[in-house]
Amino acid sequence: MASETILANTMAWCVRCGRAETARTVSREGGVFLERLCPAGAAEPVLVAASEAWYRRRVMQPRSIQRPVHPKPALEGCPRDCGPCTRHLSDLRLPIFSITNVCNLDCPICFTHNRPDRAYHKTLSDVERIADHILERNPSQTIVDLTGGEPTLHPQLPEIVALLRSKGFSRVMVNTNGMRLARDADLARALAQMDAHVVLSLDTLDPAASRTIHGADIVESKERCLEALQQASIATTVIFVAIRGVNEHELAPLATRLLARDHVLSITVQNMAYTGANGSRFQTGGRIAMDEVESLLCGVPGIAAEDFHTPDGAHPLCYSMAWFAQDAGRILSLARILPRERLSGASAGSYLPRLDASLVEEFQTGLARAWSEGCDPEDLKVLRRISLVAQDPTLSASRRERKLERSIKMVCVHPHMDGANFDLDRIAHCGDLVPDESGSMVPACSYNLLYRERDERFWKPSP
Amino acid sequence: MNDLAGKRILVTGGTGHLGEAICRRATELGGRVAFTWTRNAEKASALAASLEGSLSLEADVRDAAAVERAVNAAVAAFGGLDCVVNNAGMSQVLPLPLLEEEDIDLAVDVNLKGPLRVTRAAVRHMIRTGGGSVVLMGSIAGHKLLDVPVTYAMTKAGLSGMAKALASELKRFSIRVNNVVPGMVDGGIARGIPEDHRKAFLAHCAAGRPGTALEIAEVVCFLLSDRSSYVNAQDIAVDGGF
Repeated sequence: MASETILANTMAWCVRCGRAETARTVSREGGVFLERLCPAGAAEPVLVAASEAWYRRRVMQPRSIQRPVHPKPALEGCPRDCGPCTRHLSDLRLPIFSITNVCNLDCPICFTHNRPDRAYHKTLSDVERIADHILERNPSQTIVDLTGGEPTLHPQLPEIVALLRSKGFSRVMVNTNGMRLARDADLARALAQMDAHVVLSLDTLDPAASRTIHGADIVESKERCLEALQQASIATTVIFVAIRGVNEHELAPLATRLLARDHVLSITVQNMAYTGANGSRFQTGGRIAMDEVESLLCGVPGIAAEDFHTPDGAHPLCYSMAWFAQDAGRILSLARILPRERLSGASAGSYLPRLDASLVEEFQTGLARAWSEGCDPEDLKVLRRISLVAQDPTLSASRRERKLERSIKMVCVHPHMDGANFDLDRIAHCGDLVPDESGSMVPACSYNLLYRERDERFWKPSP
Repeated sequence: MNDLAGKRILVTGGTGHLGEAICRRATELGGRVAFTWTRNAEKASALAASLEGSLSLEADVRDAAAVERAVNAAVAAFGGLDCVVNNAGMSQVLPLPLLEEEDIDLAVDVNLKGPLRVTRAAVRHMIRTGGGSVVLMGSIAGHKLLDVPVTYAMTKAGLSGMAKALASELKRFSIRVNNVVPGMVDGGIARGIPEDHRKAFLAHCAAGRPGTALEIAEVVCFLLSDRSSYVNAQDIAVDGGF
């Protein structure tokens, strides 16, 4: 009889019962699985990790927590009290909110709810109120992420970005499917002028896979959008949704190609989440786990499994990050220069790397050690640009940060949860909060699974 | 005394007047010495033969590859490196109107770039050793108003900055860097000093006499030893009080 080992106990949300149930994480042949003990029926175990060793090394570790300021009282129990509540274990890291419900695609994998019968755009005053709530919670918050729908279809997108910049957000991220940017050079120029950071979803360059994922072959538009972003030198994060049996084989070659582009600062891989109006019905060859995505990324020259770390404060099944120095198409993991715990700390509380003075000091130490131990001279050349910029006395702090961003690539694995794997331990650590005009801030996966469909601006209630 | 017992030391310009004294004194104090030379093969052989456990290495500090080979040879022979003395140097007496580009380049290449090349190559190994001491060999010519060649004065003055910057950069690896600043020394590079300059120097020197190579070597060896563990990033004048 094959052996099984219980690695953890947790609580999981049952969509069918509408309540939290006991669940356990079990290792057995085939990987590590989340088993929900729902009395209403035997829910299928869900793959959490392909490797027990990986799970033990990465997930079964002590975690730092940061209690939220101004929490809501816990009345009904997680995840019914999101706001966040007194039992939440993370404060705001990345505020992300929808500025429109309008979209020019209807992707079969889309994990959100968008009502197509009534267009909704947030007003500038709505955005200002949300911005004020974010700053009230964290006065030094510098990053904000706009999503939709399709944010580029908001008629006042440039004004929204300008407003947020004026509020002190130095990094305004705009999620997009790229369809409008592919043909609207004026918008690209406007976003570049405001130093916006575009988050482009790019899941495939294969027409057949594109039809499966997006319902249409939009490969040419994605390519044109990439060119437009490069032309305008717009800082870009590419989001790739990894789907088993559909596009996972494209990840390594696509990441290799993207990391060589100067304007692409980071690549985020989101494992397919089967939620939302379309995504919950999407059929594929099964789930793909975080460690499997990391293994796929090891197909990129210069990336190795040990390069990945969990940012401080994040749940290890929600965020895995790796940073790379990049120059002339060659990349070198910063994990080979800096201690892993320092990388984890530098990733904490932010979606982008923060190279403060002490980390720069440790970078120089690690660099000298690597040199002393006989590292490849070509690797030293890759680190040269970071070293020059990090200590250039002629640069202002913000200018230095921008230049460093162009020298350091981030690769991130960031799976969302859906109804089958909604783990309350994970949601309690979530710092990706969805703010609204009332000041409430709901963890993103709670929002996508439970809260968005209650908002009539984004979803038409069932009759 | 065995202040340098167990220390593995590289001295550049080991066959020079000061270099030889440093090699000999360091060996007497228990150190193992590797020294470089460029022209005087005969003297190098004799010196190596007279110093137990020493290593003679032909290397011009202007040649980065030769420096690398010499450092690697010392590391291979000794199993590591703890100390470096950047003693190799040159001087050329030329007034400003006669200075050619190549004269300037030569002085910079030997007196400034040379020590940096040697230190860089050695420190690469010393980081793994877990600490050590680097000594640069400056000159009073770089610090006082004296009738000396400008190329010599400016390059020796540069070593003062090099010591401070390297001491700061290498502090994280417990590697100290100091700059010894000799005054007038009998023999060696000071042999050609005109008599009136010599008298003028001695008139302002508290000791009233030139120093000896051994007196310089004593201070160098002190800086190489752990007895000087709290001395770092300094210009150490050894000039009889000038």
